[in-house]
Amino acid sequence: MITILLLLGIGLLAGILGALLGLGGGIFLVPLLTLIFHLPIRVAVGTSLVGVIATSAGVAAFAPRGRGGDVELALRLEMATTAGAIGGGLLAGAFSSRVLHVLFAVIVFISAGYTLYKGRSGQNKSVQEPLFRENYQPRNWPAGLSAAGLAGMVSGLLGVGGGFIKVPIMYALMNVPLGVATATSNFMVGITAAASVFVYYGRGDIYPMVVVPTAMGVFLGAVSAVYFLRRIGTVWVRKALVVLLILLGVYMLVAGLNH
Amino acid sequence: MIENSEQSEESPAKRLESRMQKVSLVVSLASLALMCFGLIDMLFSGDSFSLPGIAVVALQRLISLHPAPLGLALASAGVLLLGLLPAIRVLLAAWLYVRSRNLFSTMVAVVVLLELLLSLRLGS
Repeated sequence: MITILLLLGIGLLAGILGALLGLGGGIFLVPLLTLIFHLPIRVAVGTSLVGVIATSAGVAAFAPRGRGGDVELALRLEMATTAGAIGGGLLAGAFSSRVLHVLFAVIVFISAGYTLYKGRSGQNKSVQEPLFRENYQPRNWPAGLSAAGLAGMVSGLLGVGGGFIKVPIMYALMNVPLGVATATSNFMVGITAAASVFVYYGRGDIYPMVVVPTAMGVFLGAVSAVYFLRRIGTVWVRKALVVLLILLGVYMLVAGLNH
Repeated sequence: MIENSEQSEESPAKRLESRMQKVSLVVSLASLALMCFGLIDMLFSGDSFSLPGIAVVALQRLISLHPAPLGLALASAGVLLLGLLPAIRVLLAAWLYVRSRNLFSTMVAVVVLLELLLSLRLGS
């Protein structure tokens, strides 16, 4: 019973953070499941993929009107992301684990720096920046699509959903409001995870005793995050995103240098 | 009448969001219910709770209704249904873009679906 509650709690935490920051939550689930329950990495990744889809579903099902993300923008970017992910998956064997870890850290630091820079330049404006607004026009499409393709390639190379790259691209490069960027990223990571989850299912790497409590926790967490997102400001979401990116970058850099 | 005229004035993006929300709600709750009943049945039928436990029932066995423990079969069906949700949402978007004669967005949605199929093929 304690194990079920612990899995539910981990799922809840990953669901809240994943949905709030548009990351899907897999980036928290894999290390937690392997560190706390000593599960094999393939089982943790399979569980995390189901969790990412649960986050995406929770946000899509309970987001208030006008806050479910920009589907058209998501599909256009996902075209480049999925193509990049397929290419990255095929290229993955050509790079050493050390190179992949360091590459991951560099990209995460660039994302954190650019988001921080964008936030600071926005602070000079007298009007507070809203999380959601309807009258925006995504811009820099060639750069956005190229970056989304690169994000997909990194996703394929490193086996992550890539939400931590997609949100800064949309927010900082394409002028999409941060709330819309996180909701759109939640939609996109669901599609990216769906592409891999059946492979893990077919291989027998999905275990109901682990997946069911975790997915339920993630779903509840994602629904709670939709509620929180109505009450908190852009500054807090941006700060949380930057802190998380820096921690993740340091962890990956240390792991890469120790390989 | 008033409701109908309001619906017809709704923009395609709002209509897509509304339909997607309904589909996501129904499919995710159905899949979570299946998973939950499956887990409860597994626990009450005497399966000891040890991690990672027993793996899901293979897709072929599930489709051909091959005998499998009820709880495990229900949980497996729930995982599969949840896994299909993103593809269902892209399919729904493609269908609504076709109906609103938005050729460019239809093509984009179809390309994403084809890429999903390709990645599944490469993965398997």
